[in-house]
Amino acid sequence: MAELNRKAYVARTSHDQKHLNRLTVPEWGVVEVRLKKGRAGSLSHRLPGATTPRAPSGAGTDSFNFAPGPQLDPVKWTADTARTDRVTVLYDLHNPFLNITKAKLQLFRRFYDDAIWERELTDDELLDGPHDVQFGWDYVAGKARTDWGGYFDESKRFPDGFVTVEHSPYKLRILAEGPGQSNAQVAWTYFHVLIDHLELEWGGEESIPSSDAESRQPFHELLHPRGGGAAPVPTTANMKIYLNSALFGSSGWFHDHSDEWFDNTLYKQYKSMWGKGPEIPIFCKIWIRDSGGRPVIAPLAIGKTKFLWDWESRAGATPSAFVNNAQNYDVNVSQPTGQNCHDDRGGKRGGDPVFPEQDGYSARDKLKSDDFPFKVAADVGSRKWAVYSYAWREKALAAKTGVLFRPSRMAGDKYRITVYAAHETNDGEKPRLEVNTPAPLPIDPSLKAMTGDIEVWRRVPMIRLVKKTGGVVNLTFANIAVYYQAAFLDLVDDTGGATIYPSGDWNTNIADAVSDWSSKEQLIVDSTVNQYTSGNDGIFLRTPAQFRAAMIASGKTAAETTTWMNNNGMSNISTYSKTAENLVRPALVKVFDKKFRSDIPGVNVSQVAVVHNQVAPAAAAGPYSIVDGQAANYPSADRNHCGFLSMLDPTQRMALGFASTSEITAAHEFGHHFFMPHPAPVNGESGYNAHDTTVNNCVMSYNPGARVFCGLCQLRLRGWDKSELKTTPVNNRP
Amino acid sequence: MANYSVDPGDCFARIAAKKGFFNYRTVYDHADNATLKASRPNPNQLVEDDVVKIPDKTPKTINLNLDATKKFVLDRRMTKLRILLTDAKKTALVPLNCMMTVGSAKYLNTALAGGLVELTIDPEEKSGELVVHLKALAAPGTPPADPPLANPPANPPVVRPGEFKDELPKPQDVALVVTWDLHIGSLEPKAVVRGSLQRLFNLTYPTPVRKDENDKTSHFVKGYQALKKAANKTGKVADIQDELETFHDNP
Repeated sequence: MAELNRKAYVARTSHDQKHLNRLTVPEWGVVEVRLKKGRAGSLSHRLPGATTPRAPSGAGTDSFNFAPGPQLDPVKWTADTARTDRVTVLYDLHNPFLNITKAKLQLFRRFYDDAIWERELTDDELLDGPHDVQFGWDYVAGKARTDWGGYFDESKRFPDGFVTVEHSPYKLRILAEGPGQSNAQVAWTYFHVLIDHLELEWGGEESIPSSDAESRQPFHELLHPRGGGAAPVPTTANMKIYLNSALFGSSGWFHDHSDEWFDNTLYKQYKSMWGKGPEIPIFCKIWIRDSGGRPVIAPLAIGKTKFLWDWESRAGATPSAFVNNAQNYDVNVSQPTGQNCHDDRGGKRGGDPVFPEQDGYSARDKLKSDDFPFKVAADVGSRKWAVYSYAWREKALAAKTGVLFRPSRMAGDKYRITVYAAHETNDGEKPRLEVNTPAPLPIDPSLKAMTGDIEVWRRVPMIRLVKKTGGVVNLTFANIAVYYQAAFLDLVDDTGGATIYPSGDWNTNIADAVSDWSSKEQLIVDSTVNQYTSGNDGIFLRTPAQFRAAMIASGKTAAETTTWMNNNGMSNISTYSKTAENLVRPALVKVFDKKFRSDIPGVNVSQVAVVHNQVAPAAAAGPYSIVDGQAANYPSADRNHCGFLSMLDPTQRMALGFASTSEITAAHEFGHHFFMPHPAPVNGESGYNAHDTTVNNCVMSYNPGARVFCGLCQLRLRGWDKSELKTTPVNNRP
Repeated sequence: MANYSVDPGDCFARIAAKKGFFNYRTVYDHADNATLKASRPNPNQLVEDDVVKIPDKTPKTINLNLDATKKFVLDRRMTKLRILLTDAKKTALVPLNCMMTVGSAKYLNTALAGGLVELTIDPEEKSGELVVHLKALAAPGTPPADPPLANPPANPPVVRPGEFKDELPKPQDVALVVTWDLHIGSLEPKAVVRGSLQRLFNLTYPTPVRKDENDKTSHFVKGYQALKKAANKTGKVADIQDELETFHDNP
């Protein structure tokens, strides 16, 4: 039982009077409190059974939201004061006799019992009836307003003083005190600050910490596709990023052997070149939902909301069992799971971060060069491979956040990146998404944005094609490149078309090269012949008979000449031609080296129709094998420049009846430059330990059938660590 | 004719009784009190230091016959104390019981209907007590259980009230006993500031009761204006005194 003692001033009523004294007891209560914007609004709640003479309006919903704070023009990305989403905070007090001695407007977030903000209602605000809360301290200074932009004077958890997405939903309540009885001491309403959707975009190139053009090349080419055309957007279904990697075996090796074919030089060189991978800045626009359900840019509504960046390993099965087994290493154990190259094989699955941590820098109007703007932290609990980023709330990148995506350098690795708004918690502390379960994480679709698949490719450009004459039929580069696509290596034609060797230079340089031969060897060339105008073949030689005559003319007897020719592999047209090949090839290398391009990394291709003019009669005379192309040691070659000499063009190949194609020869010879050896046993060598031993049709073989790179070659070309790979598929998966 | 200076608790009924008049009208209607009467239209509401003219008693000689019976009729008029218990909307309170004591007069009702407590009192009594037992308000119910936690939550998420940990006020679900200390005869006319403030006070406005207005009184005047949905909340007593008197003094 409660007691209340009061005083009353009462009048007597005389016998002929009728007046009385009306006495009341204190009565008061909170009728309702709610937010309202236009026809939308939040729903007011009271404890069940609470009563006041005026009933709450019952209008509104518990899903009401608005977009606090100033907004930007979404096109110009500049402040637009005409865009606001201010709401009215309405409340109604049943306080006929001003018995409410104290009432507070209080704001709460979930899971915490303390109000994040509160304000005591003033005397006038306690009057009976409906009210609009006045916000004299709102962000538009100097003017009390009856509409609310979401600002309140708390700055610890709300960096700009606005209610934000981070702690949404909110509970706004009015708690009243007074004498006597009331069962409507409190009323409250819920409201939300919502992300409408997330939108991915590429960051600017200035956001890449590495300033050199080579490091920025993959991203630059993503934004500026070769051959023109529009750049893909991050949501494009399938994208490729290309890592220029013109890496070649060092010179000094001969056709059949190089130690670098068998050791791990390619892996080490590629690692040295691309390290932890290219840098791709990916940004995310954060759209806030206004009270009308429209997406707006309201940066201060974002607050310290965390954005979780997640990646998925999307590399898939290939036709090669060897590759599949290697990709399946720890396939279901690593974090994240998947078939991208594992950290133990040189990749990043289960290892190095794909989203490196960033310090970021303070918001500014002009972005810094070579600096990533957003703070990125790898503190996502058990989801070790994910990171959180935080948004800028003002200036050039207001309402944006982002990460620096750094995929592994391993060609064939494929990534899909998802950014999640991670503010939702089950306890007020730990984001609900901090789990290590495989992607996708469960979340409303509006709270995430996902890229398409981004696949890493190596790129090796062919930078120059020099032909002796215009009559030499071009190799079809696309038919060479196709072999390398299995290894996610883009052999790209950057030659700009064929260059024809100048005739004068040709004759001079041929003469110079031939002068390296012995005096007798030089006799296979008729120095009076114009080498350039004679045709498309590499060097025009005397026939065996003409050579014999020249030898005799030089002072040798017929018998001496016969003996010399027999002893020097010139006993018949076939051996004469083959011997000549061995003289002509280095000569042609020397000649083409004069036109070798070395200002940019890449492959030089040199072409003659046939190595020399005696091949045709030799082939006509009987079975004849020819070295139709060579991964030659051009004197100008180095680690980043190589040359291929093609000595049988596609037309002459057909005319002379040789099997295979000029392009498979080129692919094979390129393979040597790219550190690939022949498979064993070839040319008497065995135990190469550098091929998938379960297949025999590797491009690097001489298998006359259809050839593809074996799995081990593919993985090496993709950049994998050869030292961690076995030569049988089953041994590459634990 | 004597002058009488009004004390707190006085009214014409009490003054008349004190001065030996059985009917206050003898004093109130006296021509010498015409001016006062004009300013105090309610004879039961005077202001301290009002001056009342007490008419001289007029002896009356009546011849009585011996051994005969003469019947005298004493014209003594009753004075009442009338209190109406209502809420702000003038709806009568329905207490569990109600007891009023003024001197030796007592009023007890366990089934008060209409809210009117009426007791004939000695007009000279200046104090009394009214005790009202009100029944307890219904206890608020238990909030409904939270909806199940959706996985994933929608955007916006369904609000789960239980996740908000703010402390709710304790329910006021016990019976209330209100005891009024009745200052009988102290209610002043509407024309003076204190009279209006007394009425506000009786209506439980926690206003100071004073002779003049200040910021505090202004606040409670505004409160009354809000109750009456006045378009212009001036806070001035003068702007409410008529309406307030009607509200307080009339059924």
